[in-house]
Amino acid sequence: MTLNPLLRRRMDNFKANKRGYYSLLLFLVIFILSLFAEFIANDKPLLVKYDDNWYFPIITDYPETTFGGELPTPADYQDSFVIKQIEDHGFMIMPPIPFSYNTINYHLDVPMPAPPSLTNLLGTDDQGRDVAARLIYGFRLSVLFGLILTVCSSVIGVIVGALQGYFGGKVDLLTQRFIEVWSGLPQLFLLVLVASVFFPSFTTLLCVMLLFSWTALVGVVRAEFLRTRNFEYVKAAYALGVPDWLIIFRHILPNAMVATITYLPFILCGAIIALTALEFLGMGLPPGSPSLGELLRQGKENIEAPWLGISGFVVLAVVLSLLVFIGEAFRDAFDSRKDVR
Amino acid sequence: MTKELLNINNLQINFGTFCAVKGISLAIKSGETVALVGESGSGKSVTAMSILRLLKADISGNIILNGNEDLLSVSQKRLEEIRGGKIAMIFQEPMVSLNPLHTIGKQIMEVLAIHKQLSGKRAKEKAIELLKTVGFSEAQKRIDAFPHQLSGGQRQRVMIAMALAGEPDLLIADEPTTALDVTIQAQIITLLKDIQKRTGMAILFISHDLNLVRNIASRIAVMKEGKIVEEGTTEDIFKSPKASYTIKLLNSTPKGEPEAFNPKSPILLSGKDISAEYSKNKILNEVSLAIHKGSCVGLVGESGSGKTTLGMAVLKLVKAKGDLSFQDLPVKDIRPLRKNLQIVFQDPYSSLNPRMNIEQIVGEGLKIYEKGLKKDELQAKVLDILAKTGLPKDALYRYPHEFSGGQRQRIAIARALILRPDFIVLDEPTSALDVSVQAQIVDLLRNLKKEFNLSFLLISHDMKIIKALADYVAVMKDGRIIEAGMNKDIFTAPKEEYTKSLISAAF
Repeated sequence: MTLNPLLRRRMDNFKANKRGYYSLLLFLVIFILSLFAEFIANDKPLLVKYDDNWYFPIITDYPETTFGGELPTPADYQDSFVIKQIEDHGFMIMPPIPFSYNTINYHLDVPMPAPPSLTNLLGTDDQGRDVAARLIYGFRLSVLFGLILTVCSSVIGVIVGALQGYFGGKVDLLTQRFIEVWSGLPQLFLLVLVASVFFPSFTTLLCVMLLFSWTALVGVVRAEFLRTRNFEYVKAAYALGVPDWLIIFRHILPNAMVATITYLPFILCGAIIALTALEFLGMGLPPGSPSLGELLRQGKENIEAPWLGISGFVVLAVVLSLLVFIGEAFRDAFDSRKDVR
Repeated sequence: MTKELLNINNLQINFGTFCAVKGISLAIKSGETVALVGESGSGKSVTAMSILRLLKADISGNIILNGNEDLLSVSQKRLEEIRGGKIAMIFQEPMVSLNPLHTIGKQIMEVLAIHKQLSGKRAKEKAIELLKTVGFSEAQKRIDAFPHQLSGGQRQRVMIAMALAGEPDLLIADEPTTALDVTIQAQIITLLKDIQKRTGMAILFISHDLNLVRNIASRIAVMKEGKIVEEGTTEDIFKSPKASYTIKLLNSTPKGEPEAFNPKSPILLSGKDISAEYSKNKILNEVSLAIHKGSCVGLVGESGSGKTTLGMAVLKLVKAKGDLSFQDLPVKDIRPLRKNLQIVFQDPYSSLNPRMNIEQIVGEGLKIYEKGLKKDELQAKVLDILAKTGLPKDALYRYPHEFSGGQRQRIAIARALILRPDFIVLDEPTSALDVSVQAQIVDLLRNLKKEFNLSFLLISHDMKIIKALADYVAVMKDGRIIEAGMNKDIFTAPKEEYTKSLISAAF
């Protein structure tokens, strides 16, 4: 198959928006790195050599007895006894940041939250957890949550919009009125309410937020379907006797996907903001989860420790800006009026 | 010997790396009409636009006005004086070239204010006079009309009045009649000729239709792929064309007549009392028709007459009242009949899905009706039908945009034909195509009809195509069939005044 010239032109248009192109590259690099957060920030060593045996503590748990200890519990690699044992019988390699998101640094000689130092590059929060580690895990969690929410709400939104636009008439009228009422509900308050009834977990939070975010794409997809269903090639397919679902998928949906893809980065942005807002209010993921919103709240509560608020803000600002830039580039890429000269 | 008004020397226009006009030279004397003729993409409109610098492109060469000013290098201020004052332009689409928010009087007076410094009462008087010149009978009243209250022909007249307001020496008319109905076209041409006689201005008339300009132009330049291939007086061009391309254009009028068919063949499809409404406007008013097996019914009429709606109603592609019967059985559910009833649309550019290749487009119907078909069998069938419609084998894996308009229409015909239907609605199958291609499509349709014993409902505003293809002719006006009969009878002895005017406008 030859490369579709339309696709070719879109890719050229995308690359022509330098800011968006580099934003995408940067975002992908950060995101992929964060997927391997366990290898970057962890309280377990990457590799241990002990008595000529090799151990990979990140992948499997080893009891303390492995390293000459007495307890059958998993080894604590922060413990000075374990460290000494390993260093006497071999060596261990720690990740660049020797803390996980929930590791409490007990070796601080200043009160918590501790300011940035050589051990905690961005300081610690008020429970003595390393801010840099929490940022990395928090970023991953926020983006993953946002991505899943975006994909789910897009799928629902596209299906609803497609049915509305294709069939029109009463289906369209009733659904449209329902969406108008539904989106008139004060979302954040309801989220807070629902989050206080259910015990918040990753999935319940996702479902609750999905209740409100699916409407984002409906309007765009519906409009695209209303426009496209009168195209002659759609009529031609109809005259051929092609079944409705095939017409929707084969002939109309590809047109609507342009608008959908253009919107995705912005929806992702919205999802991350919504999650952060909930976390900030303390209604988000279970306590102890790494989250950007919680870090911001700590920043607010510990105003004398500016490294908390500033680092949380910078990460959030960078992520959202990157996403907006990527979204702009997508918009350029799919803009049929814009030509690469 | 009249002096030369406009001299185009070695004009070259580039869009990026694409060269649209490759060095043409053309002279227009004052008071004469020069026609620039060519197919779409030949660069004729671009040439016209560049005269008034309405283009954003790399232009080289020069365009000399009155022997002393190069329009390509004069200042912006001087250019504004020339636009409308010395050279005026009218465009193809009267529907969108007037501002819908202002009355036509106001729009004409705006030109008067700019170029003649007229305002108030005197401007209004002048505007009324201009409207009278372009043939508005009740100019006094119509001056306060908004564009949407006028028909396409009237709007084009307003455009001409606006162009005349600055008393230009040259009028550039870019396909001024293409968007209009045939009977209106003739009126506009007569009007332009008449005005030219009175004011003595020169006209640069741009058209794709060589036969149309015969009535108005004294000289013709034929353009092809950005070059002028032939230039000469109208008489010379028509009597002894030299360039092979000109000869091809002259011979492109659809010719021939439908083969005699058997009038006793059974009725394939009939409709009784078909009515359709669109937001309370009656588009079809109890129309009845019957189509015999193997015959072609030509449905002719101007835009808005309801002919396309009738074609769609027969296939139940629009909501309509009335009874349909197919092979003497009343049609209740159209779905099982879809295979037998096919359609070819007007615009082959929009009727093919740009994301599918030709094999997918043509094979789509087969996949639905012959589910057990293997991949190579399907391909063999598609190839067979492509050959029958005159398309190359390698078309299979190419996409619609890689084909010319005529080839795309062949693809659309192949898509309809592969299901071996009995009946095809042809909705203006040639009007989006260049003239030189129209004749080929007409020939193809005639051959296919004979080969597959097909029945057609041919919808067209073009009497020439109807004459060349249709066995029966039905003339539609305002949602009714006002005259119907055999091809020969209609064309030799039309009864209705309207039919006569359609025929005289076409031939």
